[in-house]
Amino acid sequence: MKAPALKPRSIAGRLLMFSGIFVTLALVVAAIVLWLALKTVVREQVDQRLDTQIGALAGAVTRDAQGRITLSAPLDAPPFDRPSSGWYWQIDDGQQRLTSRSLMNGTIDAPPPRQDLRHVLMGMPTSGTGGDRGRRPLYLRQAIRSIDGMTLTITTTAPMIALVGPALRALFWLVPSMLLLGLVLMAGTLWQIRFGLRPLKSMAANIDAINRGERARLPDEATVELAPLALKTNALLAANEERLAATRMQFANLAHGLKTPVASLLLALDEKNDPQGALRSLAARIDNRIKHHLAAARRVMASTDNVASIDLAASVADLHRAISQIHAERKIAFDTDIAKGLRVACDESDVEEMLGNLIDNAFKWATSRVTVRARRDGPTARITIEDDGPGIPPDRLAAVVQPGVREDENVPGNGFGLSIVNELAGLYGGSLVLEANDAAGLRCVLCLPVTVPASSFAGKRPLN
Amino acid sequence: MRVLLVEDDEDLSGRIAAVLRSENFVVDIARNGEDARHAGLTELFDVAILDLGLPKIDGVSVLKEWRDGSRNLPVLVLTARDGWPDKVASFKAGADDFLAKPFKVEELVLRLRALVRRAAGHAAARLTCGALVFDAQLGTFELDGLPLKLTALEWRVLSCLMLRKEMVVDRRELTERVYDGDAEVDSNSIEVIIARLRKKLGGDRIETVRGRGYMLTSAS
Repeated sequence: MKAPALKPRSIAGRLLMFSGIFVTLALVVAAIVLWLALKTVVREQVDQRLDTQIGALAGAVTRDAQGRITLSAPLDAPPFDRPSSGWYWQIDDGQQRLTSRSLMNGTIDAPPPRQDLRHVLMGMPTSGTGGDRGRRPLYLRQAIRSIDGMTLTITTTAPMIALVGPALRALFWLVPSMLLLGLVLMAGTLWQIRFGLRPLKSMAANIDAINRGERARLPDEATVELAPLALKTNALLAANEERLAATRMQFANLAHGLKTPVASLLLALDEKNDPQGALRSLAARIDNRIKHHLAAARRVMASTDNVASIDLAASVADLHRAISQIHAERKIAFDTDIAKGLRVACDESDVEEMLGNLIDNAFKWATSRVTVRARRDGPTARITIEDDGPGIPPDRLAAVVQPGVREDENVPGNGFGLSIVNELAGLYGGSLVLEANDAAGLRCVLCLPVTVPASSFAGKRPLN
Repeated sequence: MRVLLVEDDEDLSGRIAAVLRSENFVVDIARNGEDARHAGLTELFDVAILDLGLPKIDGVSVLKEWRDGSRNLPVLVLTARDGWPDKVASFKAGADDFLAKPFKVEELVLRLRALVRRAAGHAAARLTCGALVFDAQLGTFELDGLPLKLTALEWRVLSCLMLRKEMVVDRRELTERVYDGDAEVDSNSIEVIIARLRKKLGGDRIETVRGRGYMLTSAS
């Protein structure tokens, strides 16, 4: 079983972990190979030195008049002259021995040389290990030569430290430099991952922007690997929007399908066939139920759709054209004071629904004048709609915006619209507050999120 | 007053038509967008009631085609789609009023009358022409302060003349605005109605303009 805790969650983590493992393995193998190669070179150098000494000894050894082996020339050049240095030589014919000065009349404790015919014929020395009377480990080269009818075993030695020392010293710089190399490689990997994953990060930022309603789609992706992902994400967004539009259409059709027979029913009922008005109030309740559930459906659908940026001044102008005609008989003056270019991050139809209800309400109650103002207040657009009508008693101001409070009441132009506005505003993180107008009438304050240019968001918000 | 009622629901359109006829309107019914477009483009109406969700061509498109064909009859959109986006779209397309289903039939009648009156250029609800007063909102006539009793046909002719008082109303146009599209019209019948009206109003309030039509004047 695999331990899940060891699996990194991020792609960067995975890449980093695997490249870390591979870099470490590669560096360890490289270090071992280098070290072995170095040891071989050192040994070959020592071999060469010892073999040269063997050659010189073989050339200089003779038998004197007494039949003893002797050297025709002194061959105790450094380092063979230093006592106990480990650099020794010894010539042995079975009965007598000739040794280097460094041995100081001692002998080399060496196993018999393992020389076969080939070595003897070629005069090739063989390697082995031994000691100088057990005190110090020695590396030795041995050769068997026949000179003047004698069979001589010539042994030269070097202290083991001469072999191991340079290799050990090499480790002192080999290991740190390998570590440094590893660090540089990992840093490179890290940088490469960051650079390589940058398109992914920018895609995440763009998706975030879509969520915030600053973008409708992902931009065309230049990164080949991400292009299909961007394409598919955009297709998904489009499909979602289509489905949403289709659902909205279905709800509109449902409304149409239900309301037309209700309208017929209300027309069919009159004083004669419904003297108490019970059936008519029942039909009115059906109508209210339809309105209520349509508003609920609308709310649900609005929550997924905030990819928009709506110009408030244009929206209010459109609404004014409609409302002034609906209330053409009332001759209400209409003033607007809307900050130029003020845009809100809400769906167009939702903005129309909210402002339409509020302005229509104001027209219904106004005596002579309706004023709409809008200005930016930090991240929100503050929209006020004022009328000079009778207003609402202070103790009921909070109640009339409550959702569902008056769904069964049949007071014309009261309640339903305000609760819809309140709920829609809430969905966008905004608010609706009713207050008494300074002079007379009602002031509705609607706060909605303003559209912020995407550039000013860069790096300010964490990606979630 | 002749109204074009565009409504695909047979039951509802029948009921609306019955109410409107009882209020002295002449009602032509179109049950789909195509018929509505054709009727609106080729015939004379004082006002139209337009549903938005129609078979064949939707209401907003019908309205746009009428306006593109410079038909400027007042149009009241009567629809179950009561959201503000639909209202805005309707008025952008050239609607003059908007009423959501279900509705109170009295309100529909009042709004239709107001539309007709405003389209004729009268801002006030009460029109006077000498001793004759027409309450365009309630649809009642008074002569010298007393209610005037009229038949449906008489009311139609007189309201038509009243809305364009002091102006000549073409005889053929008068006929079109007074009779249903499928009614058999005798060319003399308008003259008969005019004669009866002259008797009720007294004097020479309704002038005959030879070869052109009739004109209501305040001269007594």
